[in-house]
Amino acid sequence: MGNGKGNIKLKAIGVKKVFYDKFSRHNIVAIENIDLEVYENEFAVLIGPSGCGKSTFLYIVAGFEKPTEGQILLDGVPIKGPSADRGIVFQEYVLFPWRTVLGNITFGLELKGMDKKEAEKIAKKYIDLVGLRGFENHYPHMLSGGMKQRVAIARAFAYEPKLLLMDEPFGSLDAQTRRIMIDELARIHEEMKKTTLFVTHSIDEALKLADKIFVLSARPSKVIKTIEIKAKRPREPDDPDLVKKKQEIISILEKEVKKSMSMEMKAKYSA
Amino acid sequence: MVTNKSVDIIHLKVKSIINFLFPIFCLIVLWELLSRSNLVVTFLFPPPSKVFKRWITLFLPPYFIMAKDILHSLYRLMYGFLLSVGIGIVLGIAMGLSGKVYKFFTPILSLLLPIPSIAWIPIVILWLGLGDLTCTVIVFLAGIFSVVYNVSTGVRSVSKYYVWAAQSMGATRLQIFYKVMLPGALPYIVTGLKLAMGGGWRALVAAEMLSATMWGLGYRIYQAKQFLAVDVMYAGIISLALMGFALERIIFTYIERRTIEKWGMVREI
Repeated sequence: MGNGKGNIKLKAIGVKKVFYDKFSRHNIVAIENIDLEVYENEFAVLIGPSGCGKSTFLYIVAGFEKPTEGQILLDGVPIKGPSADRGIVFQEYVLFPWRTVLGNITFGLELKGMDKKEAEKIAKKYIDLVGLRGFENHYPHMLSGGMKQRVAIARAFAYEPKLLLMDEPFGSLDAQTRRIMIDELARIHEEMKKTTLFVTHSIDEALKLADKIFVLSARPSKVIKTIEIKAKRPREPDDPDLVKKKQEIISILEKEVKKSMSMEMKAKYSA
Repeated sequence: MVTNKSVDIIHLKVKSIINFLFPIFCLIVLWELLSRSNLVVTFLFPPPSKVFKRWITLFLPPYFIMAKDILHSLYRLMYGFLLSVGIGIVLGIAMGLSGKVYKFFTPILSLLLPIPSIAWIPIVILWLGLGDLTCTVIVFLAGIFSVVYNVSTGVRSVSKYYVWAAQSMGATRLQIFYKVMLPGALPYIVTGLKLAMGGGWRALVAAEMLSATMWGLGYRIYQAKQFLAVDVMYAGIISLALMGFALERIIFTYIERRTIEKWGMVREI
């Protein structure tokens, strides 16, 4: 509490991930070593070149994958597998097509055994939060990408996980919708202050949303820079401090992208 | 405006029904003409008008023969069908979820699959005697494979992301099973049931011809042969066609419209 940041919510200690690649029959080190801390109410962003293992790290936090070495603590307790204390929003929405908007959002509450009326009351609150009123009884296939992602966000909020994980949630939206959704998420975070770990490769997304940005290296990844942003949301992109940070991240990522490209070329010619 | 729209919809429906019936009507008219022209043996190819009349009278009191035949056939079909669905869904899900179960049962199923279910009729008669039970078992054998294969493929087709999403909301294994796997596999499950129903109906007729002791469409057609009642045989065939059509098309189209089509899991036709 002394540093004014509150408690450490999420802590990764020496996380390493090695995959066996069936195709090349080699072990591939996806994550070299990731140490990081996310404080309560913080919006943390993981950014890195594509293929750097940032989504893999998120899936380890979610409990879908196991780390080869190291561990992850949520409120000081090691993560063992997926559970309702971590909500996730995927890039491809992953809404249940057989459930309506309302039914998708009440899903997590039903699993807890909450009665239907109570669950719907709570779901309606989150439907309002993400601006979906009037769409309660629509099925996911009737919605646009941006609307689907609003449902997915409401669904992840509704059962009140301690930590929200977002895996490039706006990656498959068109540029215009994407801008609107970033602003919406910034607003929602100001309102809810839910501790969030957000994966992206878009620097603009990171700068608009993050309290803290972890910049990852090319594969095998590690955190090479941590950048904190104090500016209040909504943020103006021409804020001089943000412009400076943007330049800094661009120059780091450019180097990493070049590195990963030359690695790929080398792998190609040595094979 | 609203009435205009609903009039349009009715208009479209009538049109599609006419489109469907017209070719059938042409076939019947052609047959009628051929039969009456004496170009074919009228005894073997009676005119549809005569067959249809016979068909109607078979429904009438005091014997209600056709109605009873249809009910008996449906009863045997339903039991066999439900048996294949019950066992098929359980086995199919087990095979879809577990590689070990899949690998164990696949060789057995692959060997049994090519055997037409009617090949079992004589043996099943020796096991269980003539009667309803034998017919039911043949319907079961005719349906089980399509249910098992479709359900296991359906379960394997459910994206791991659905399972992950449910797990991250705290779903237990049982909840994942009936709240994710079953609805997620439904397009395949419906297909499996549809094939089982169609296959079962066809096999049932053969089973009834050889094994039914009273009543049933297959029994009726076979009996009619002994009395050379050709019009009764044709009447039985009309019932087979109409009931089979109703079972496969009407019931399953209804189920599909209310589930997988409504959910956008398959395209509307």
